[in-house]
Amino acid sequence: MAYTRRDFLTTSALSALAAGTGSFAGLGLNRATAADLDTLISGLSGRSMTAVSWGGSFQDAQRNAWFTPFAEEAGITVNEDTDPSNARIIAMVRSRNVQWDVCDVGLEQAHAVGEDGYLEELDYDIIDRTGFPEGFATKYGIGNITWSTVLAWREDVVTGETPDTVADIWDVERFPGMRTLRDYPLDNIPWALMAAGLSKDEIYPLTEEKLQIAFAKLDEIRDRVLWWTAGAQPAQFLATNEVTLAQVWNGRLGTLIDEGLPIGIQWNGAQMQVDAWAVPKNAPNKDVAMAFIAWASTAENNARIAAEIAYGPVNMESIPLASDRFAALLPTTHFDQHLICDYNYWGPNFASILERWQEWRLL
Amino acid sequence: MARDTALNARHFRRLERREQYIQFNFLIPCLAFLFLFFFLPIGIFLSQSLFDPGFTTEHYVKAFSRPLYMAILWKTLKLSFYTTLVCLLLAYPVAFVMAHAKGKVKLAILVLVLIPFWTNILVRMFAWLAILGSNGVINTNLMTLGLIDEPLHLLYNFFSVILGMTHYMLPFMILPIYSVMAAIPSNLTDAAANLGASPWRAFLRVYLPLSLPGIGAGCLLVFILSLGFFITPALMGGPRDTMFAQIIEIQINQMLDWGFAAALSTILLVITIVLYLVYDRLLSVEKIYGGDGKS
Repeated sequence: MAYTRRDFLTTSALSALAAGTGSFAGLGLNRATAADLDTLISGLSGRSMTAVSWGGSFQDAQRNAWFTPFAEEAGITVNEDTDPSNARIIAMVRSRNVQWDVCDVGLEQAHAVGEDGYLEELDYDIIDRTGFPEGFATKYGIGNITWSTVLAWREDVVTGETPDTVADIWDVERFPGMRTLRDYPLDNIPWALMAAGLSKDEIYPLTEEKLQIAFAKLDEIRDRVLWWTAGAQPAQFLATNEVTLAQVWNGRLGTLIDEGLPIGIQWNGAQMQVDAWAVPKNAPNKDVAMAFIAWASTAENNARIAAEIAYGPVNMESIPLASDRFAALLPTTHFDQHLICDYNYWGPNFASILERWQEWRLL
Repeated sequence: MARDTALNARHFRRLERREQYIQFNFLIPCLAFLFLFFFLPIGIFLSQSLFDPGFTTEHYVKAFSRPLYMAILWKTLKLSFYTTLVCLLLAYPVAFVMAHAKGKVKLAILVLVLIPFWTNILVRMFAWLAILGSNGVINTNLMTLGLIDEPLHLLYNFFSVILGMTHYMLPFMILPIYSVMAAIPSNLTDAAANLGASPWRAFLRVYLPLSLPGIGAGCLLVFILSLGFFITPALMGGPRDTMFAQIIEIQINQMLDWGFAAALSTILLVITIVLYLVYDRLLSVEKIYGGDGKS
């Protein structure tokens, strides 16, 4: 089910109402109240937890927004590690030596990895997922930030006409030169379909026919594409002028703008995605991890991230509470223009499409 | 007299066997360590290609039937071959000069060859990115001088991969060739000249064949290293320069299909072993390590 603007407005209105009356329990839902959560957290004093994320400014932001405040509030030590790739999680669980408690993972793969037995099911008795759009809070992972894949360029290089939608990355006449795209089907198949003329509503679910259209469209520009795998690469390519147009994560543009580069951004057709918290199977401090996730997913705490980095909260109740600091770069500011990623589709289908993507990319 | 000799020979052989037996015992701790921490884990991993968990040939069938994997294997072999060739052409003169240099000059060349060897490979790769990029050292200088209007595409293509790999592999080619050359008596070419050979003929008929074990060793080393090489093609190569090792990495990290990754790894390992055996037949590995190549 696509998350529409109407749903967003409804939830915001409801959440404003709830916040106003201060009575969550009055909504008649069976979940822990804020008071229960406080009791749970105060009982954790002296414990420790290992949180794993992707390093760099991203992990710094998560530390400032969540890890440090939670450590202070609960009286625990939060250790950190980096690179929570699925392969490493699987290796840890298989060798029965799990050292991580909570990991920041991609929601599209969490389903498959969890079904194979490598992730714990999230404890929604203590984690409150109202306020989370359907598809952003799943069995094995719950969203912690929203981000988008946008189209960006340098305004001192692309003078004159600028792109109107993300699909303009296919327009080689108006915008000649090299492009950079992520080496990943999740971003490129929808963009290719939009370039082929489909509207945002027509994209999910993907069918065989749509996949063929998308790959044919991608063939058109493949010779002009530098593929990136690390988030810092497209920003780097823009900075060193290796490419004219870049498909890049919105948060990475903040560093470029801070350095003084004039960056133009197109949000029209950008796909809104989430990173998710997940807990590896048999994590040593599983209960601390669940409490952390519950704490970080509340409206007040989920909103903290927007003060640290240009990523938005997932809990829709957080949006009015979020900082303005990066408002121009927040995906939630440009909500209407976004394509919402359908993780309910990607969950079961990701592996097969990834394989097809590899074969197309490498041959 | 003959009987004495025969008895002596048997006695001597027995002593030799005993000595070999003692020597072998010294090796046992090392062999045990290698077995436990090297062969066993690798064996366990590679066995996943056939037992995933029950016996299955699907991984090998997939590796050989889907065109992608054999195509990339072929490309990898080609790239390794070109790298080896370029390395050889560059390394032989350097080794030659080094072998014939005296004292301080020899030391200077040796140091120049070894210092890049000791520098972290990632640092070197990023240096190349800074040099070859569209806004890199070469392009900005050429454009300032007015020689070109648009930056040259020096990066993310076949050229940059060969460049990066040769840069990394050169010491591996120079050093084996040098070590063999250093052992060639310097009066041999003089003797050839005395017998009427021109300098070029002396080189071709005397020196070059004697340096062949070094060439063989260097080529084998560089080729095998290139086959499994990963970082340079990933960082400096274009989309179509993906190498076999990267495919294995993708299977492990993204596709999470470890049985298939094990099958691909086994294929690579078998090719490497075959190459090694061929080399041993032709040129004898022992000679590099100071053996006499007769056993």
